[in-house]
Amino acid sequence: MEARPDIQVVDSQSAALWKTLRRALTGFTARTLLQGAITIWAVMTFTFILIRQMPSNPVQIEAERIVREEQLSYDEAYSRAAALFDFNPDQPIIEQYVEYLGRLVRLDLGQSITSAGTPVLDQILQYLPWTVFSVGLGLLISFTIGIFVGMAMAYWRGGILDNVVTAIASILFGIPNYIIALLIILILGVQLGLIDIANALGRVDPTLEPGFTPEYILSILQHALLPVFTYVAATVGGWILTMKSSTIATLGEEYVTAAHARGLSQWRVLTAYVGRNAMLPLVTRLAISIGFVVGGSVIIEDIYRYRGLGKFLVTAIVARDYTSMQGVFLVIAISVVFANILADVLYGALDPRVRVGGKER
Amino acid sequence: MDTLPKDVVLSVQDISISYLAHRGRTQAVNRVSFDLRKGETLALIGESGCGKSTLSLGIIRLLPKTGQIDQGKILYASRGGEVINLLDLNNRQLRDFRWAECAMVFQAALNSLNPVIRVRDMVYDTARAHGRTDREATRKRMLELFRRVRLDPDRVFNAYPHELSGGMRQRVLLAMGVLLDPQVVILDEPTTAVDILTQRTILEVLKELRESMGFSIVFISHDLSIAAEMADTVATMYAGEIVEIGPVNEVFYRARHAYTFGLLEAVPTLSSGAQDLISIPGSPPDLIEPPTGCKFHPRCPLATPRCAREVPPLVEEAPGHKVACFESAQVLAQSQRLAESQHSPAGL
Amino acid sequence: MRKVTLLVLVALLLGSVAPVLGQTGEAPAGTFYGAWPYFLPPDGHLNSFSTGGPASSLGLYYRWVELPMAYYLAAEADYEPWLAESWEFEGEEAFVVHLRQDALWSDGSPITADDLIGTYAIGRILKWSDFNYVGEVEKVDDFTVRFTLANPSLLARHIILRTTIRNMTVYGDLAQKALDLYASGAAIDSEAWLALQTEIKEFRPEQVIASGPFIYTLDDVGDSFMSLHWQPNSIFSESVQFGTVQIWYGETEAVTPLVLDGKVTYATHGFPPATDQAMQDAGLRIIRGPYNYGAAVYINHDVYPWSRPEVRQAMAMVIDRAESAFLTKGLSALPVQYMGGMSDGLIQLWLSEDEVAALNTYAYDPAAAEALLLGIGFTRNAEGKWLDDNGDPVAAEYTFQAEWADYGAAAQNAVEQLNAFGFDITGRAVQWQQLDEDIKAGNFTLSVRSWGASSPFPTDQLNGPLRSWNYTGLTEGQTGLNFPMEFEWNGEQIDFTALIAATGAGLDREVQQPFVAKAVAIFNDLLPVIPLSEALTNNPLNENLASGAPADDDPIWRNGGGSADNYITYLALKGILTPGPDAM
Ligand SMILES: Nc1ncnc2c1ncn2[C@@H]1O[C@H](COP(=O)(O)OP(=O)(O)O)[C@@H](O)[C@H]1O
Ligand SMILES: [Mg+2]
Repeated sequence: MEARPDIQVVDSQSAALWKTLRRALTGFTARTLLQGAITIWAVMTFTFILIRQMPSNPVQIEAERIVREEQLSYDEAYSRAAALFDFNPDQPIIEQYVEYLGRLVRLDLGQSITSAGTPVLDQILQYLPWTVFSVGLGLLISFTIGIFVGMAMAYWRGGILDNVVTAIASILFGIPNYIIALLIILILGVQLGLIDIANALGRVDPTLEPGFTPEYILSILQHALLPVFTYVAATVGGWILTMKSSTIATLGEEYVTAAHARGLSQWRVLTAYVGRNAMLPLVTRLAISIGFVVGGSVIIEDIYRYRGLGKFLVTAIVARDYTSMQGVFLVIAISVVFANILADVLYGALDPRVRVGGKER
Repeated sequence: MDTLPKDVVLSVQDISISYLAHRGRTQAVNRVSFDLRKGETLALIGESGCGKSTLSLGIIRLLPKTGQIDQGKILYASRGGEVINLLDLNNRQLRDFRWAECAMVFQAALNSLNPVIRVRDMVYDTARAHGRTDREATRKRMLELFRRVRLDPDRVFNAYPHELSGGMRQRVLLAMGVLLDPQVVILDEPTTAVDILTQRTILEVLKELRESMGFSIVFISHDLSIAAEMADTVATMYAGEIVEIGPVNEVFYRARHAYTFGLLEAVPTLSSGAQDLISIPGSPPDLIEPPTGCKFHPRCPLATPRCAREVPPLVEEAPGHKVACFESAQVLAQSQRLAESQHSPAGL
Repeated sequence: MRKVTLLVLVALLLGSVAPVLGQTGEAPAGTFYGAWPYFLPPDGHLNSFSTGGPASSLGLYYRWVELPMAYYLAAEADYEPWLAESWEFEGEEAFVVHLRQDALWSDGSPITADDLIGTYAIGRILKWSDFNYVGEVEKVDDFTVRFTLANPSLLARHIILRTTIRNMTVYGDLAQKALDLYASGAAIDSEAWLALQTEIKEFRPEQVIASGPFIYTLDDVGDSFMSLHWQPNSIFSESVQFGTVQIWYGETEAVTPLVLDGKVTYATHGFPPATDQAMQDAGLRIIRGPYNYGAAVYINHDVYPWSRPEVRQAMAMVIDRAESAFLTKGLSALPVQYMGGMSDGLIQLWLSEDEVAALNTYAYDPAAAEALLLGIGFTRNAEGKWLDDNGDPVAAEYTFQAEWADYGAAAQNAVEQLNAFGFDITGRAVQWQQLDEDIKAGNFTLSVRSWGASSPFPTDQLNGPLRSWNYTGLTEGQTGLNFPMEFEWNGEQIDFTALIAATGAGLDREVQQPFVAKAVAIFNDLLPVIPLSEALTNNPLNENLASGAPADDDPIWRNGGGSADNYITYLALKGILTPGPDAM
């Protein structure tokens, strides 16, 4: 009997949540999607032209490799390279573009130029999940740590925590991630021998059978440790400092004092009053970061031999594999566009003032 | 164990509050004492920077980290008759005390509502913090209070702050202030940021609530006409000190402190008109290095060398009317002349 | 007729028994740790006719899986028979290869002429460049194949013998289609041809059948390393001393820490000088084999006074090549000695002692350079800066590759030394591929690029700069170096293009030799580009992981660290290299 009102409360709460979401989403109708599609098309076209303006082409690059590896003359190597690829450097760019677009509307990303017979989509599917996993996990951890530590520092501003972490965060903030990675490898790995750099690197222990086995999953997590740690180390400083300043600003707001005056518990004030408001400026940044997750971090992936999309993109660029590059750029463009939409939805859910649909009727 | 006269609900005794800043210590409140009786409305008047807000924050113990209460007592008589010193409360007890016993409507009322959650969530938060978990009862009471402050209850209850106008928000705060039926409500300049019509509505509903619920009010204002309209007792603060306190008619018609008189002269009235407004030249002193003697003497037209040397004590010159001014007789004469020339200071 | 059939039958029988015999061997203990940026599935697969397959993915380790017919020994300019037993030219008509009769695939079947025929049948559809030299590929008997020559040359032999043979159990269907298509007379750009080409490239076999002592499946290809496993049936299964080859994934940056940490037996990546030093400090042996090319000053012969041979000769004498080599690549570069447009080692191999002695070595000698320039009417101005015979300052911009630390250093050092001599040169860094375009377009005065070529053939060596970078080898409108290929030299009209072509024409080294000597002498005199240093490999060899590598002066090291004919391939497969104490 007594439980009834509670159930109703829960019901009405979830209904309200649903309503909020619906309202946030109704704004994203055809217009938003069209905008996104146009953005993606524009980026696609731009990169299509741009990457073909880079000096050299796949055949030349392959010819140079053959010259090096097979000790043949350049002419010899060029004719071999030309035979390897289904790529005609002399085809007019507009023709290539129309062909590409024609395939794209059928959701066909084409085949890799330098790995003839391999669909670009397969390549992306092979590398994308690893990057999304490692960079995404790094971002998630970094953001979470940043939020909590930043808030704590603002709250106990001027304390030991604040001073120590501010110093560390400022230093970390200034170090590029690949320097951190190199330091880890060279100092912890080579000099001190604390990390078995031979086996700790890569994505997973290659001797394990892939599958949903505890060993395999554990191995994935173990191997992600270094890259994720590096991503966190390189970005957490930024999150912490931003969250700290944002929280300090929020703590000075009248509604926080007012909440205290109403006798609210510290926790409730910190979460619903300080935290939620202080996080608002970070949401946009988060969304932008999410958008760039798929690009991965090229150098980190290289240093840790963590073969993700970023590393793949570089390999494709070096080989001038236009179709593979194009595929990756497309995925990046799509994810950035979606991240922006996500940012709007998220922002709308967190801040009623900017919610699409305006005032409640 | 402290005791209080039977009808006193809040007694501020010899309170000093200072802020630590880079430049030094700001003595924002200096040895202030007053009693607030049940159902009484005390108006605290004075220019900006005189320490009114600091004093009220001190009462609910919500000073910022840089602020501290240096001395004194703040005694509070609970409904059960128990007298507690608010300075002895621990965090838990303080949280219980706030709002349930003493609510406060802040000066920046428009920013006092969390912009990202609904009014009702703030209401529920408040109720829950004080152990009132029956949401339905809370809702009913809140809707009733909203009705009494002349708001559309359902719409306001479910609204986000940005969907409400300034005057509506002010009334939301007012209504929320009395949600837990406190004995004392502190209102820090509740009418400053709103237009004149809204101001009227607020004063009306405030009076109605006071009538029906019987709480005491500390009403902070630098608008003397409003103070006159609302208050039973008026206290003038200058540079962190109460320089004059007394029944409303005493203080307004027979002001005995040169500062109070200066404020009265500055009130625009129907008869004098805005262009005749005489404001006190200069501004309140630096509270890190305040003037010697009477802190008002550098700005005082009646100041004598003694005023710069000696601190005038707060003495009761008429029943219930205390003043700290060496030239109170002269001021009294002037203020009586002023009172005759304009039938009522609350001339609206 | 019957006899032949019988012989074949016996051979086949022997072939089927042999694996039983061969399989008695146990996999040797010990692991070889290599490093290479191999392809990961789906880019990586097992079709060695298609990019991403073993041939393009495994680097030098490919030849540990699929063997070529012969191994080229650079120091002797000769071949060691591997899958082939012998070969000969039939006049200028054909080149005949006799395969070993005891060589087996990993599945135990013999390696026969059909495999070689099939390999070339598919290669023809894929437009292999071999068919620039080869006409028909005919089976003579089960172990003999005859290549008719479209373009008889020693290069044809080189290219054929270094080809790996593929297994027809795996590729037989495709090979049959290829043979049928060719027999049908289909045009090379016909629909059917292109369709078969696509089918070949998209073919994804499920297994490798190896001729080399190692084999692998896609399950062995991990993202951080891949493994090759010993198999008993190869001609090298007995000799090779490693049971497993573990190849770490990675390019130079990723592999460096592993090398320094002692986790890599041998790496063929190009390491920067700082890493080179760190590797030495870590106790690794550094193998410095020749690349047969190196940094040279490129000159635009359209621009006066650089078009004058005397100016180039003077430059050769005022740039201290020892200093240049050291600054370019540290110990991994040698100053060029003979300045003949070919690697010094190859000049010694091809030219007689007298011919070598007649070459001008352009020893560092500013005084001689001074005299040379004064002799052609150049002067120095008041500040000691050179003016040409028209009184114009000897000034130029010297462009170099912004991304190439070594060539950048070579260029900057050359600028410094030339300025010290009194020229007025300014260096400018340019994105490397842009610089390539600039040089080809003749849009430069001085720059840095390579002399020589990785190919050990004199023709390719001399053509290195003169075909890829001179108007003769470039497209319409591109002038490149603009070095005139027809000129008078020592009173004789020279067609340099024809002369260089003659260095590789025909099937007789003895006939080619005088042309090589003459071309080198001309290059040495006219200096179309000015060689500075010859690059050396700096491949680390970890002797804790592998023992038995011969001393630094062993001729095998002249083979270089490329993928084909790699010295380590030879040492490992022949069993000269054995697992070191840490590799067991
Ligand atoms: N957080 C603070 N830190 C330091 N000084 C403060 C702070 N708040 C107020 N003050 C100082 O205390 C004095 C009284 O301020 P306040 O109580 O806000 O006056 P009022 O409410 O009468 O305008 C002023 O001099 C003001 O500068
Ligand atoms: Mg105030």
